[in-house]
Amino acid sequence: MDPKKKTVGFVPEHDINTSDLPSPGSSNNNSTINSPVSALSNTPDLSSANTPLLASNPGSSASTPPASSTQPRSINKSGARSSYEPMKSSYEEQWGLADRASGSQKAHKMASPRDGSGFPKDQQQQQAGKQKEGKGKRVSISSPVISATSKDAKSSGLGIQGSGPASAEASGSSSPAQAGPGGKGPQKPSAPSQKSMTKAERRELQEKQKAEKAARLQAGLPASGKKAAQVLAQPNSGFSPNPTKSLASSFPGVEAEKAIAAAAESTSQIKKREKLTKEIGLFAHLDPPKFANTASAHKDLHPAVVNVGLQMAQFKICGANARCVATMSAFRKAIQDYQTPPNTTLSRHMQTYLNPHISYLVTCRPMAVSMGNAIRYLKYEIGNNLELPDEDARALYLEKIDNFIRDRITMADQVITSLGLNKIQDGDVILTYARSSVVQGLLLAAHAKGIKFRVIVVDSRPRFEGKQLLRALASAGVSCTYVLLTAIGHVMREVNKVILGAHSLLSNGALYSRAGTAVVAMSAHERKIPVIVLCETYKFSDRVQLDSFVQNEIGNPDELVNDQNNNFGHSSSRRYDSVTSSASSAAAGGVLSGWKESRDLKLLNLLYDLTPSEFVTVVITEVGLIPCTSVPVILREYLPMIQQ
Amino acid sequence: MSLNKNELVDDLVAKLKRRQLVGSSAVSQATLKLLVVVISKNNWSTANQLLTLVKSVGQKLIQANPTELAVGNIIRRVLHVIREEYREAENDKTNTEFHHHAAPLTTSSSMYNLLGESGAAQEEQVQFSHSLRSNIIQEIRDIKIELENIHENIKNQAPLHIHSNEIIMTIGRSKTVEEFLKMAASKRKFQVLVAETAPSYHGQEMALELSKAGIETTVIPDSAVFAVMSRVNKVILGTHAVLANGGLVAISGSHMMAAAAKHHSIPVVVCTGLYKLSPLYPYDEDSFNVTMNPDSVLGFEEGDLIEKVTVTNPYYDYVSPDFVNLFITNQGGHPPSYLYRLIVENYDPDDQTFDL
Repeated sequence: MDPKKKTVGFVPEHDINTSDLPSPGSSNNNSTINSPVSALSNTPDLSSANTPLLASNPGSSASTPPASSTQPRSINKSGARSSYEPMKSSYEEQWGLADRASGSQKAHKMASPRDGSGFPKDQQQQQAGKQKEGKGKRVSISSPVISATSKDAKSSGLGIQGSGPASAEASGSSSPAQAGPGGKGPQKPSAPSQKSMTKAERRELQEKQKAEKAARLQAGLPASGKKAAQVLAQPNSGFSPNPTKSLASSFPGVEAEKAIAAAAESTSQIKKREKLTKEIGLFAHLDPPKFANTASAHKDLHPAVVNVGLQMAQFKICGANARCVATMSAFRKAIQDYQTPPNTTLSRHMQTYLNPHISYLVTCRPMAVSMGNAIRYLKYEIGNNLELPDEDARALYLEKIDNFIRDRITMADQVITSLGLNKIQDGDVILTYARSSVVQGLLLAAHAKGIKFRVIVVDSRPRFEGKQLLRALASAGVSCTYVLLTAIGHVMREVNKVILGAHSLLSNGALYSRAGTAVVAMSAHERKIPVIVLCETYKFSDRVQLDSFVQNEIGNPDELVNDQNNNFGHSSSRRYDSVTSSASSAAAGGVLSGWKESRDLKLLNLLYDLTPSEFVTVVITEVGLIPCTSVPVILREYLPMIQQ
Repeated sequence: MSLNKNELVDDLVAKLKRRQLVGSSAVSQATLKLLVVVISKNNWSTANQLLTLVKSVGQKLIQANPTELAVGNIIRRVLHVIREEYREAENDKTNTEFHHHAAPLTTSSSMYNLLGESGAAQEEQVQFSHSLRSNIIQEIRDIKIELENIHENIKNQAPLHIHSNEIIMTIGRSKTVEEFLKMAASKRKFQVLVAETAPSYHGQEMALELSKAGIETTVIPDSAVFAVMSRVNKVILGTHAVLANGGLVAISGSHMMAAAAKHHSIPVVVCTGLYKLSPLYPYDEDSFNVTMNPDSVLGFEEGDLIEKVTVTNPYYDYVSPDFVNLFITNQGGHPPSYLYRLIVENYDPDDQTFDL
């Protein structure tokens, strides 16, 4: 399969996470190998989770983990700007990414994430060879670093052998492209011969591995070879996957049988997962909720991108702007640390290099429109400058990324703020919903300007994003009222302006934003209160959508269960309202805690909704105040810039 | 007046004040029980005395918790019964004397009073009737039976309103709606979406109950109400009270749901017993609202934040009558425009307020 042809497609969660599921046939060695991964997906603190991940890079020295493990902290705390400073020049500073950038630069000077130097690879292959000989049957927990990588290197060849037939089973389409490398698998040079490969050969092997990873993804197997091999080995794994695999590789026939069994196994696991999350009929077409995992993150990914992906999966980076800036800065680092493989040029290979990064991000959380537009822009710039010398191209791409963030986000926000300031007057009562970085910036700027106004922050379960905004406004001294969405009818009377943020504005003028925005806009519209939407033009989408069903994102349904540890610090469990004298006690432990066992109970955690354009009075963009039906017009202006 | 009776009144007043007794159904039953005691245990000789007695009790109860509109409704019902019974007795008497006094129903119509002679009101105050007491007690017993059978009467209409494969949305927890849906589920297969109704989370409880009854139930956060509304066939709401104009005092979030339904042209059905129908008119949307402990909105853990911000937790929402398409009461289905007629039938216009 040609990796260049690989499209950025949504990879269903169960494809990636199958190995994390308890499988009947799996023995305890499975958990041994999984340990760094499962630790990662379970640990809320990214910085600690980061360490094994980074360490799994072949060349990474000891200095790498501390250097970048401090990075996520900075962005965690400031998912986006914590305070608005109109004339800040550096976006990195502004978005709290500055130290990340410098930190990783330092780190990656010492160790490239990609395997450019021969030495670590050799070491790794040595290890692989040893394991093949049966000496390292069991991968010890104490050295997850080497074991993970060595298994990667070794099993990636095997993984695809299985995935050829498996793809026919799992995805229902057996393409010759997938079968091709699978057939070649057995002839693959064994570890000792790999050792004596030339650099170019190794490069070729690497390319192949990447292609195989893509094939695996398509075949419904975990992205990393290790995981795929695990899945494949599970049905009849006696003790550890290693002996079975080495055995299997010597008997292709057995291998194929096993692969079919594995495919069946994985489909049963998929079913299990479906049962677990309980699909809701109307939303069956949407991806099931994704969970943070590194199963799909293989060693070729730049750690900065993996970081960002994980943080997005855990909603530590949240919000269209923050996600876009984080992605672009991570890509910036990836491009910075990129080393051109032989026989190609940086500009020609860049797209191939970035594609797995992009698809990794998609496996973490469905791509935000803002990210999609930014990435499209980047790809466009890459495609436009194919003939540049390597270093010039690199400098150009970095500059383009910087410019994009500066022009389309940072400066755009400043322009929007200054335009928005004209719309806030003394005595205003402004209602806003959840949290938007631009709205927060505008309100803080208005307060700093000395305008006397009041803000009603409307918030909703399960994320309570408005609390963050409330905290920022309250600490700045803005007079605030905080209510939940159900009270919207109660508070709307005193409001005279509604200011909302946007995830995206669609071409039909519809506003695609945090779920609940539509209700707020509708209530305002019903009372003839102007609804002002703040949206940078880079969030405009050429997509057209009529309802909130066709495209949306499903969050983790467990978030709706309001037990104590799952309520984002929200004290629903302590309820003293005697209005519900009979029922209050029942709610304390989380009424829905047993929902998975109940056959007829389902939870739907919808993340976005669509606000029809008639509810929106005006959209403030960096190009001025426009009605939201003008989105396609603006989009046309910028089309060459953001579209390939 | 017996001490016992006064104690009972004070007890109920205290319970209402402390919100130990809440919910239209519980409150109305308690009120009715108390009134039976008050009427049967007290010495009264004229209808007027009895009216005054009931009114004074009513005043106390209503002052104890003005948002429990069902208390006032029950008192008015009883007052109405007393007047009716009296008039009937009066009629029997006058009929034999060939007095062409008006029929009971027309007497209560305000138009007639405007044009007719107003002497009747004074007259009735001095009249006395021996059989009145037992008749009135009997009538109150009937009201009690009516209250007990309300869920039965309403839920029996369910198959008339719910068809197969429907998607129904509801919010909060209403016993009436719960029974209604469960009844429908025994005849039809349909889905229910329940908004979880933060911060009280009654919707979650409702969903749990419905799912236990074998109804395919999906809990949605309140924020998703608009998003999924376009696929919903019917919105079925419970209510705390129905006002004279057909507006609802219902759990907070009802307004948003009803408005979203209206936007999508989806019928909003309100299941309610007639005892929740109040002759009062909402001159302000918050007339009958109550704000609850804000702890469930913004917890006290956030101490530093709480100092700086106002947190409101209104318990009820006012839903204006133009959002409602149908009321399903124990007497059948009625459009909001018909409610005035039900009010006239059930309450006496003189009992709007309990001024003595």
